[in-house]
Amino acid sequence: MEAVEVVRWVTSILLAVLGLAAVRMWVRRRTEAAAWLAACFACLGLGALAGRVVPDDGGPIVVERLLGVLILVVPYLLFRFADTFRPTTKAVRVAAAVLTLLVHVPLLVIADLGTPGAYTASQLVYILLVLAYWTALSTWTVVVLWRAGRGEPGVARVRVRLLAGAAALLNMALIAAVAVPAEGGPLIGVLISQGLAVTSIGAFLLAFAPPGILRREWRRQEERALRHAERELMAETTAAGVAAVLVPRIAESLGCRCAVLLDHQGRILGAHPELAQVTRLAARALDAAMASPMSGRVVDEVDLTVLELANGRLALAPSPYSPYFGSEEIALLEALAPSIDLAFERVTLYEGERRARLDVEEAKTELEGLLYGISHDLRTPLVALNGYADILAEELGEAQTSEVLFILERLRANVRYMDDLINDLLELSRIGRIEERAEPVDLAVLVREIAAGLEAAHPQARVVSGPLPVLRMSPVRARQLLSNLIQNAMKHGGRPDITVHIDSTLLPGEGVTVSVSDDGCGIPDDYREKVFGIFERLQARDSDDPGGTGIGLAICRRIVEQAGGSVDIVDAPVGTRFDLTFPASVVLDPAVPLETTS
Amino acid sequence: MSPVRVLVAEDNEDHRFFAVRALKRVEGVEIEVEGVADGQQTLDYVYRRGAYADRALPHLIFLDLKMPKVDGLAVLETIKGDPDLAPIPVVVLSSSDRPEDIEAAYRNGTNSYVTKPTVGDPSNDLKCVATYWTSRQVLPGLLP
Repeated sequence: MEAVEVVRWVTSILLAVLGLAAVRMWVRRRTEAAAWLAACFACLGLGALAGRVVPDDGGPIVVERLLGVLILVVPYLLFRFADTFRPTTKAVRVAAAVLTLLVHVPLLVIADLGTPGAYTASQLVYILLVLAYWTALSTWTVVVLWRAGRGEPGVARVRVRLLAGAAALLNMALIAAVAVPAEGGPLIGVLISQGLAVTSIGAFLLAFAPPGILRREWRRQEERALRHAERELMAETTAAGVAAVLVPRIAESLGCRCAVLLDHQGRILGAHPELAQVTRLAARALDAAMASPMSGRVVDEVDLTVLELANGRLALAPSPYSPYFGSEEIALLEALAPSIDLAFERVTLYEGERRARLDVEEAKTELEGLLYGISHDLRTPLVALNGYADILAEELGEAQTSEVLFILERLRANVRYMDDLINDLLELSRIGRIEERAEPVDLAVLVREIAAGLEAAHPQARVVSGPLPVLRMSPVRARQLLSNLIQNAMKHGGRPDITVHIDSTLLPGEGVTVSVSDDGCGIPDDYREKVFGIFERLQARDSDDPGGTGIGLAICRRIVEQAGGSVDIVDAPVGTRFDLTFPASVVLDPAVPLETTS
Repeated sequence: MSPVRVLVAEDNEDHRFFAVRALKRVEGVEIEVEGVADGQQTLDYVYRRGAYADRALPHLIFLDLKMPKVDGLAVLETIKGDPDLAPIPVVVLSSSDRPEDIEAAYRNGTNSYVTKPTVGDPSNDLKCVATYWTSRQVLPGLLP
């Protein structure tokens, strides 16, 4: 056999194989596009093979004409194939059909189509008609397919343009095959036509079933966008936000016609391209029976692929350009599942936390209002009591005996005590509950101020302080703390000429201990813990001891704990010593040796 | 000279007693005091409605903030918002020393804010306040 024959046989076999592949694809996925393509390549393959088998000169004319029909119908079939991608108007379709018929009928009916080089006028007309039909339909097909790629994601775009190219090549191959006579034509002509045919076959195959490697290459841009999207997911705090980031990117990456993200109740969280178009897809996705739903599993059916997630499912409908999802795409989906689950989990946690925070704020506000209301109501009768005591004193005037004076004074003292109790309780409840702004507080300055303020009430007492640190805490609370302790010493120390020492020590780890000690009567060991309890008092209340409410030390402890520290009563040879320990985090400036003050 | 008319709006009868007593003991000025026990009565009084149809406008109002039916702050807002009533001096008497309450009262146009004390000599303090506000130099030209 000549080389030319071999080449022709190879091409024909390839075309036949392509035809079989197309038919198989149609059997697997019965879409309209696949049907037209299968028809096209079946005809082509059949025609090519038969052309090899049937001798060129001999053979019944019917067979020859039939072969002609097989070849001639290809542009129309390709036209209908392209039509499934971008449907045209009915008029165009009808016109194409009419044109095809006009071309095919004479082929079957007219006996003599003339010989090359000696055509009659009508035969020339027919040939021109054939050429017009061929050119029109194939150009239309190529243009439609090429333009269909515009705006499509990577894989789809490349595939459909490959189809356009393949269709163009095929047409050129067919024209070349017809132009170059079977026998005696130049070898180069044959090679060109067969080469074109083989190339177009290759392009078709690539367009239909590109290997994973190529698909991955074509999908690169979308995959990068998908990686981006995964990062963007980190910032999303609502379910809708997550879906809005995710669904369009996945859809584009895989070349889906539409995609929808549903939760387990069937609510649509996100859709692409538009909500209106995906309702049917959503319905089908819900129906898709999941035997035992497991996050990350992909169920792949005709026209529907579903990725099962922890909180719902992602349903994808393939587009005509990517009519099925290969193992690559499925693997991509499965790999996405954990990220999606994580994103939704985060959304749930965030929402829960936000609600919890709001609840706490609300409760705090309510509590504050309640406490204030109670304290206000408790004060009202105190106002009356105080008022009446005062009026009584006024009315009695000169008639007040010393006993009456005493009684009135006790009345008022009790009212004062109750008022202090209410205030201290409110205060105690406020520490830590109300946000107090922490600022740098110079304890040395504070102690000087407190000492100066107490001079009038306790003229004989002395306050001696060494270098003291600067702490970051609420200035109001710091004043309360030190004032309480110093005043306590002066009031309960048992001697009017008491000396209160305030010093600080730097601890390893850079915390500090501030010691407040006095040379008064001290606190017995077994009372040490008790004194911090609310209402615990060491001494009975009597007229010599105007005394506090017993809440003062509890307030002190809470203030120190609020600042992150602790307070203890420490052994001292004489008097009382409180050690206030503060962690390094609130120490702005440890004690710098300064002149001692008093 | 006609007496100075003072309205004491206070729901607590003890506190009302103190205010009225303080006013009665102001020297050199003849004072007519009338008391009302809630916000609605206060408004009825100044608008001369219902049982108070025959009353004249007061020259001075002592007003408690926490009152039933209509809250003291609302009464204050109404009075100071009405051009006919706004000139009447209002002294708020309140147990509350919270800054937000004081601010709210002044924002609504009170002329003075006096806290009811639980210590000290409230009787004398109230008398001083009453003396100040009923003196002819202080009260604006509402007086005939």
